[in-house]
Amino acid sequence: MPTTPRPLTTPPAPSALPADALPLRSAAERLEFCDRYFTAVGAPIVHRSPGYREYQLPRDVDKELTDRPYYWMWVEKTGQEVPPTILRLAFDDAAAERENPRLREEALREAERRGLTDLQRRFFRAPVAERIHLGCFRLDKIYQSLDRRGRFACVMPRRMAEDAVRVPWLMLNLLVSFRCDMTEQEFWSVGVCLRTGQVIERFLHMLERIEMTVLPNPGDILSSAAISLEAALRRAVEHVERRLDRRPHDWANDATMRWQSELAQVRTYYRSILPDVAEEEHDLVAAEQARKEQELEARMRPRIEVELRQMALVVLAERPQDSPRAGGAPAAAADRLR
Amino acid sequence: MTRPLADPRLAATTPPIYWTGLDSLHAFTAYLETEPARNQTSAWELFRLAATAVRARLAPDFDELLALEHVVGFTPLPHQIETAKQVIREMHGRAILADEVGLGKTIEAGLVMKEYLLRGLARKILILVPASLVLQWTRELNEKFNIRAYAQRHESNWGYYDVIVASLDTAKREPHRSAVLSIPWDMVVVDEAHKLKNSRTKNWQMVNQIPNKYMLLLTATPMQNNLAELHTLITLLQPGRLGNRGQFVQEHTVTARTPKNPAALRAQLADVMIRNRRRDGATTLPDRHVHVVPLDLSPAERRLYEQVQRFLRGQYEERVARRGSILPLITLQREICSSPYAALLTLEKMLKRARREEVREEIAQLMRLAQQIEVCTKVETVLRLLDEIPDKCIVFTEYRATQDYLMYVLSKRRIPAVPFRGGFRRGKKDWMKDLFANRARVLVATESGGEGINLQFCHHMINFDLPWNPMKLEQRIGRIHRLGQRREVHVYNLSTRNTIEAHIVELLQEKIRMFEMVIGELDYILGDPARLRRFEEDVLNLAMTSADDDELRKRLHEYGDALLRRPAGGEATCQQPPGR
Repeated sequence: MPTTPRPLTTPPAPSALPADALPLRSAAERLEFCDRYFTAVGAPIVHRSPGYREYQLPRDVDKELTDRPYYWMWVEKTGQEVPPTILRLAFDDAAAERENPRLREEALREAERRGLTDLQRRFFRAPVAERIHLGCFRLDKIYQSLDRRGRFACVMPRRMAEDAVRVPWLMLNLLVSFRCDMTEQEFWSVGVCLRTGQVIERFLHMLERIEMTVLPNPGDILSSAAISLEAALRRAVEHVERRLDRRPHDWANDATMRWQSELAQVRTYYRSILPDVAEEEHDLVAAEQARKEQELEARMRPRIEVELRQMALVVLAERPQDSPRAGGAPAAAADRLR
Repeated sequence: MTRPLADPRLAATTPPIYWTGLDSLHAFTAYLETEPARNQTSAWELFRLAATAVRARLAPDFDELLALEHVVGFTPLPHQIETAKQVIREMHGRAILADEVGLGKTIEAGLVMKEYLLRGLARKILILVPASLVLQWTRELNEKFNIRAYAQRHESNWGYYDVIVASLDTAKREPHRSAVLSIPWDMVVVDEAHKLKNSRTKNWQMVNQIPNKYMLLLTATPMQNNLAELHTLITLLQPGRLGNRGQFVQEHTVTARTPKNPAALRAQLADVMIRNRRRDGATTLPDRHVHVVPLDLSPAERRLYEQVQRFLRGQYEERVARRGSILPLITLQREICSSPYAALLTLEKMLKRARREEVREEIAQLMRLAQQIEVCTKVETVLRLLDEIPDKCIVFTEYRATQDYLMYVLSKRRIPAVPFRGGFRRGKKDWMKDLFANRARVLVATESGGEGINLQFCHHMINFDLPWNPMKLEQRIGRIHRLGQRREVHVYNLSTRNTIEAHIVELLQEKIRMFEMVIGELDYILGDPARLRRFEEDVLNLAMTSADDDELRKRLHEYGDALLRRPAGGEATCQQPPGR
């Protein structure tokens, strides 16, 4: 019998910080997220109303978000001048219902101005707002675009005292997946001080309130660092593995037990049917059994996968007075670990 | 976040840790050398947004289904959510979903698929369904779950698309078979899995060989004939779960249909099978109101009916004596209850086949009588009903001829109506449904339209004639009274006084309580499902051999009792939801 199933973790403690809640769960958050993304990639907002936006896409962004390689090949091969794409995004149903009639009216008016035959008028197709919800195509495309564009950074606080000592940190953002026949994932942000080798967790979270700007000439500060990037990365890996090692892994033990008990079942089963199988088919049955055993292992053997998703070089001032709430001294939080 | 303390019985061992992406350090070094010089002010913003995007896609613990935030245009029902959670958390993605018809097995399977896709546990998914449902499944997965599923069309599709819907019949044929078997599928879903109840069939052997991590088998009837069929299905999911076939039969069954210890078997099944049923409150549908609409034949109609009865009795005796086919008689008896037009066709055929002159004369006389009828009382009754019903309405009849006549009368009265027949192709069916939804007031249908044609926007249904088969009647009701119906449903059964039809209405409505039953329940109230197949024959037999109306009525009641009598102690496995 399999062991009593149980969720991989206990539910998060009620005191969990808001930052731990999964982002983009509300329409308002998604709208803000899109506004920020399109601003950052240089796509102007050309129309704005509650729960609704129109963004005009520069060509590079268009290519990333609209998934039409043949169109672009044609445009570029033939040297066409094409009007920029406008994304019309509705973040809730009310916005879509409100904007669609307007879009139709405006498009029709514009078309009439250019002249329409009766038939064209009858079959006129106006643009409609695209409804944005979690898991929709467009949001997925935006995530993918960000995976590319937001992979690295190199920053320092915008305001920093002249005499502040500049300390370089390497930030590593990790996706940690606990896998068996279920998956549970966590986001870890680890900072390694390139001067002392100190390792801090929840690093990104601590930088949240600091206004950042691009760090010019990172080579200068790197060359004076006591610890190389490679060594810092090694330290981070060791740290993460140590942390993982210290955690209880009864989920993995449960999974192993389930795996072993199913494995035993499969073996007993195939042993029991063997007498009824014709001699010449024994090999076939053995092959089938081997396949089922492999499938069990692939499905149930517990493992932890850690994927390095983002890296950044961050310069911080040594003392906290530079920025009122800025975590110049993250050490205080160092024990509050995920 | 703290984790639960380790189980003290076990020493906690850290599972192996695999790292990916560490080599991006080189790219990062290159980035530091070139990019910041370009002074990209938005880089930090993009970095933070990217972190948000990663966190937005996290799979947290399994207490909540991520999939629920990703469905489009509908809200899954509580029992569907509960089922999906149970499949993932307790059955670890290998289960038989055995809900009753119409409770949304597709939705449950879709939720499970989406959840595994979102959590990155599945990428390659194979969905095997009957050929007629391939497009519908593809459409539903795309529209309701945003799962990019493709209908298989070509041999090269198997490897190319991640989520592919195909028919089992195609998949088991070469060259497809080898292609399918060579792919390590993350998930395999089989709809109508009762087709896998025999382990010696090509179907079963095919599915047993498909490599898979997660597997869902969908069927409303996990056990049609005997308990060993359950064993066969479960062996696909977990070989050895219930021992080998011999052990299972020995341990669990008394006879093929009777379990030794229903409670024990149920407990065993609970780990691999979920069955939601309406009577457990899986879902509540609005009330169904059934009205009998009695009517009297006009003198001309009455004369025809009596003459046909006399003719039928004569023919019945003769045919039984020489062991001839009574099928044409059943047809004629049923048709004459529907309308004179329906009967004409069969009479004509019989006329051609008749060898004796007096029989031919008798048939010709019947046809003359039929042709003389100018006003069909039943059709007039329908028109009157339509005047009273303020809304859209479906009229069901068993016969094309009756359907044509109804369409003709409706168009003469300028009541917008569309026909619906089983022979229509899928596209035409959808088109007729749309016309009915948007333009017409009446749908005149000769059959229930098959799975997938759902007419929940309609709340009124007239049974112009009743099928002599409870299963077919159940399907008819199921078209409008199913999940998604928000308003009360009215069913009108036309019942012609002093004809066999009145008895049939009584038998189906009052005795078998067809109209109070929930869809999918019929299998469970009937003692012997095989009896249904003989239903028509039995009824004709009773009609032909009863001396008078009263005797017929009495015997039909006894027949109904026999239908409902359940075998003692049997059926228990599927009577109860497995240990929930």
